[in-house]
Amino acid sequence: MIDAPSSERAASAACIDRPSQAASPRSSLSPLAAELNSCLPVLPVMALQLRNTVREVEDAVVGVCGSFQEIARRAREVVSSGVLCCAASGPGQGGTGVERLIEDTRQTMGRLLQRIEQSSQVSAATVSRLQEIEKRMQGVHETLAEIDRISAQARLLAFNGQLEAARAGEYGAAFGIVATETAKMAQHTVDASKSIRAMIDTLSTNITSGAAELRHRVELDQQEVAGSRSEVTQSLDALAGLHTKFCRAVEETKTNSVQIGEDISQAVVAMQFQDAMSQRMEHVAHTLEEIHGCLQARLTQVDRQDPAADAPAPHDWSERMRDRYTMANEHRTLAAHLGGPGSRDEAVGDNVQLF
Amino acid sequence: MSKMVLVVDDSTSMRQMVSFTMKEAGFEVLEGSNGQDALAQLNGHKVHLVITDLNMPVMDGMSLIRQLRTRPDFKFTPILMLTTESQESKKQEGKAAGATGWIVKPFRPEQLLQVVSKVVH
Repeated sequence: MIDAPSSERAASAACIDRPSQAASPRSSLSPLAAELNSCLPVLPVMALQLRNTVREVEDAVVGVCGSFQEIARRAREVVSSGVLCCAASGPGQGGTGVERLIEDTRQTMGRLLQRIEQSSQVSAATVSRLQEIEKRMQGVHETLAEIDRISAQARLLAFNGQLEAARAGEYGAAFGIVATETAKMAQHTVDASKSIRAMIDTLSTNITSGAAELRHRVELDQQEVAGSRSEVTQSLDALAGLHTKFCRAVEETKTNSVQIGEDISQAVVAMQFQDAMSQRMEHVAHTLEEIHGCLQARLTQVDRQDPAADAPAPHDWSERMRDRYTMANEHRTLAAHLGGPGSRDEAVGDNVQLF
Repeated sequence: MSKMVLVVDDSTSMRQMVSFTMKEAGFEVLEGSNGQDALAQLNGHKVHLVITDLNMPVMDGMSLIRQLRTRPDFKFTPILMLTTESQESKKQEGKAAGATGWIVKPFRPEQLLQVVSKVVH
């Protein structure tokens, strides 16, 4: 901003050292001197007020800029975390990480449901086989009935044989033994048939109930598979839809963040008014202090009532201000009110120059 | 590794704005409130770019450039003057002192970065 220190004493000395032109009578200066004496202390206060204002404005601007930076940082963080969620998995790998995950899950669930369906089909095939076995069991029953019929005939035949053997007396004894054994065999056959029938009945009952249970399970499984497939598809579709919306929101946030960045850039440019204002106010404060020092020195001369004292030539204040000014618009303002060049050798055009 | 920029300005807000712009562009930043303070901040750091104001108390930007150019490690370091001063004579003085470029405030961040990209390799 400003590199020259306050120079009241230097200005006073400059005033005293100036060559004299003509002595001014004390009496004619008294009212002016009194007025100057009265207003002189105000000048440093004005300079101080300006500097305090500069400081306060700078503090405020630093705070505002800090807030802008925080806004920019947060916006960037929001975008980064969003982008991480929607991060591209790289070219040729099919969409974002989440999209790929959803697709993988869809395929895994599809395979799982397919396996359940296959198991269900196997169960259905088992039920068919069991039904086939049930039919065969019926065949076995029929065969057993045939065996029973044959056994009954054999027993009747054996009974008749025993009767004929008894009638033949001693000559039929051997035939009687054969008839008796035949009757026993027929009875064994009937017993075996009963036993087989009992086993077949038990087996048949088990197969029937097992088949019914399996059939019921298959139906349930098929219903559940169909329901699950629909639920999984809907859930994954919903998830994919949400993800798409989320990525779109992230993209919008990204765009907004870029806009925020541009807004902040413009705000940064706008906030630089404070630096320019500080310099201008510092130049004003410095000039006020110089005027104060100079006028005080003049008044001291008057108060001494030194008739021999030379009256110094007045300063060229506009030249002093021009020397101090650094900004083109300061020079222009000065020139507009006090004349002289608007600026000494102000460069025009772009504000950037590379050497 | 990030490149280091030394930002020198007696205005806290200007230092803050320039530093923010440079940090956003990926630079690390050292700050000095005047020429003397800037020299003290160097402390062995490798600096790739200096952006300095002209009018500052204690040591102004012109004196800082002259001091830096006497140091072997700053012989080829780009030094940009960022100032409200726009007089051609001052620019020529800056050029003679060893400045690489002159930017008149206010600066636009993208414009500053464009200039920086031309001088920092």
